[in-house]
Amino acid sequence: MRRIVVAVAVVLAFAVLFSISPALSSLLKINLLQLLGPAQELGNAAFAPLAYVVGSIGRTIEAARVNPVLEEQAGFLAAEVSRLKEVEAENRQLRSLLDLPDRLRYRGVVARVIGRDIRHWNQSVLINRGGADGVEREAAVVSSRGLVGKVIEVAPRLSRVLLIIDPASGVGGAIQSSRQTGIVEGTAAGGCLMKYLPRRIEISPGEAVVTSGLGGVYPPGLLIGMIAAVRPKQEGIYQNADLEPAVRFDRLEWVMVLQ
Amino acid sequence: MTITVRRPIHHYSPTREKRWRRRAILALLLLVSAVLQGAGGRAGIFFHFRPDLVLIVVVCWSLRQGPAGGWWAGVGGGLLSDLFTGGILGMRALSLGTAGWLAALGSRSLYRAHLTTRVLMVALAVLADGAIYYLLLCVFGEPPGWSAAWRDIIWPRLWQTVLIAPIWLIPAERLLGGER
Repeated sequence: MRRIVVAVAVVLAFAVLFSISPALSSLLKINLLQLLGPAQELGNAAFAPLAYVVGSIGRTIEAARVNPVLEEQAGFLAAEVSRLKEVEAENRQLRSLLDLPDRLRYRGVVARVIGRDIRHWNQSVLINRGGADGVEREAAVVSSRGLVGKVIEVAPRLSRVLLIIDPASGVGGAIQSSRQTGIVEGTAAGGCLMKYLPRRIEISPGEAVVTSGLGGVYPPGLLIGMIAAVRPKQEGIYQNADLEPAVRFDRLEWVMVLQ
Repeated sequence: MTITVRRPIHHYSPTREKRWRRRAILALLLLVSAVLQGAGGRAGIFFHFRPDLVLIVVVCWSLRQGPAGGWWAGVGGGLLSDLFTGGILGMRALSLGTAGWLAALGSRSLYRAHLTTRVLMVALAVLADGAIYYLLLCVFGEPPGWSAAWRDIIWPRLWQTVLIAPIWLIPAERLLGGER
């Protein structure tokens, strides 16, 4: 008899858990997790020396590999910077002629990444800023390299950011050169895929993809990544393209939550 | 002369105290496992290396305490995992609870004293947990394709967890003590 009562109670408990709204579920989770904040900080502190040692070895090997490539790129970029300075100066003059205000600069809250998602199924990180610091749900999150994701759970001093590489994430993107729009979604492998690109357009690997601003969550012009490979389709009107995210999510330490 | 023997209100039981102490250690181990799994903020190359330490502790407990103990440890560990992840609250609790129950059930006829057997049960629990979670995602979320889920999520989780299992099982077993 006791076993039946327990079984019924368990079924009921799970039924209640699964029927509560996602917003309430998120609120409950992030506030409970905030109580474990000190434990999380302690875990980070304990893990940091080991991560530093192993990370340093990895970084040294990688640095030796990419250094010649970067030196080559630096030369090209110096020329590009010089050209862009010219364009900027010209742009400033034209803007003043047209009496347009300066392009809006983003304001935001700088936050530190204090934890990652513990499962392979989801791609999110925890940051040490929350509602008390002005962080709001659905706010876009960027790093110095580009778009990171959006805030999905907010507690007073803690927030969870859904990364753009999460399969549940969808960002309105545009190829910077052609302005062709599509949807950038995360993949199970932890990468990005740009969908709904018309088959008739030509896309080349290396083209930059930025946020289109469609959908209202992400402001336009934030760098998402570069086209890595095109997946041509024999049927249908669309084609997909693999994206190399601009942000190195495995080295994400500081982010800015846009306000 | 009459002697009145008064019964103590709270009868002291060493077995009960031991049982509660083990449960407290289990809770602490689950918390430490979840925190360590989540401590990836500055972890660099560990970002994609996510062995399921919580599952290892649950399997360790279920092999000692039987299916019911495995179920409850799984539900507890799963709820804790749910807090540290972006998914729906309760999904991981259900999948890990079932995996804990199955691990204890499956190991009944096996020679559990051998480490290889216990690591094998960890592997089976990862598979069971992954399959159940995928089914729950089909109902409550948007799952990736089955082949992508296997190739990119369940398989990496399987080998990473199996790789770490012997290292994490030994201290967990020491701390949790013998069988019930």
